[in-house]
Amino acid sequence: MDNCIFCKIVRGEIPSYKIYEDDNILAFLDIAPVSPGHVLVVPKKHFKNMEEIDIEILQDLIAVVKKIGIKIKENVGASGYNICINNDSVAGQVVPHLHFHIIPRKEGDGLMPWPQKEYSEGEADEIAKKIKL
Amino acid sequence: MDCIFCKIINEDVPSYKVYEDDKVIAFFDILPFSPGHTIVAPKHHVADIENIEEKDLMAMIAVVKKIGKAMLDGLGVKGYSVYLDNKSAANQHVPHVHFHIVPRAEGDGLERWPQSGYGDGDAEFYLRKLTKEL
Repeated sequence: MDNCIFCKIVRGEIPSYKIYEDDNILAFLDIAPVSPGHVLVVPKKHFKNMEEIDIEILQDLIAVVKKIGIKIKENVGASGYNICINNDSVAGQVVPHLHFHIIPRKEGDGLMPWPQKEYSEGEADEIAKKIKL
Repeated sequence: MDCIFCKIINEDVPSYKVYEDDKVIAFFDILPFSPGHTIVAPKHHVADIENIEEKDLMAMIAVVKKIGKAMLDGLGVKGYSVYLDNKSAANQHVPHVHFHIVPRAEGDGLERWPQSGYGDGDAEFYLRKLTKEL
């Protein structure tokens, strides 16, 4: 995709801090990190989201995420990390080229989980029926 | 094993089950971030992503993809967030590796974490750390 910032990074038209690269996958530092060492892992081929991506490439991506996560723990002094995909703009996806975030975490870093709610009587049943495979 | 997810898998604790196969189970988080918030876990107890076999992790992400699509089709939502929290510092409360899939809607109030920038030379520092022996 001509105008996609991640495609431009993949093609080397925009510089990046590259963490990992193979035939299908590139990982680089997010230059606007949630925490230092925040990494993005992307397929080199342009897929907009989870619905477009081939399952094999998605599986290769998560395998690379696993490897980088271990490095984050070993080398960045994080005691954990969050892996996330924001799938589509309503979920906070800013660049429409599917990507995993890996966000290094420390105890007491102030990043708060989202608030949890409770289901009303019968609500969970109703919703489960709509999703069930 | 005194693991709540293992108890759900063994049906010692009831759950709203969304999907199940030989390796993977998916059920509702009973304290959801949004209605339909689903947990995807391996049936075999593994504490975290570092210890799960790659093929099992791949089986999990394939199920996440399927359920995400089912959320778009079944709930009429326009997107969803996928999370895996590693260790308590990252809000992993149940030490049995799992993905969260959270259906999303405009104005649902679930905010992204604030982002900052790198100071001079900081990005290079982290790059060196992360590329060591990778």
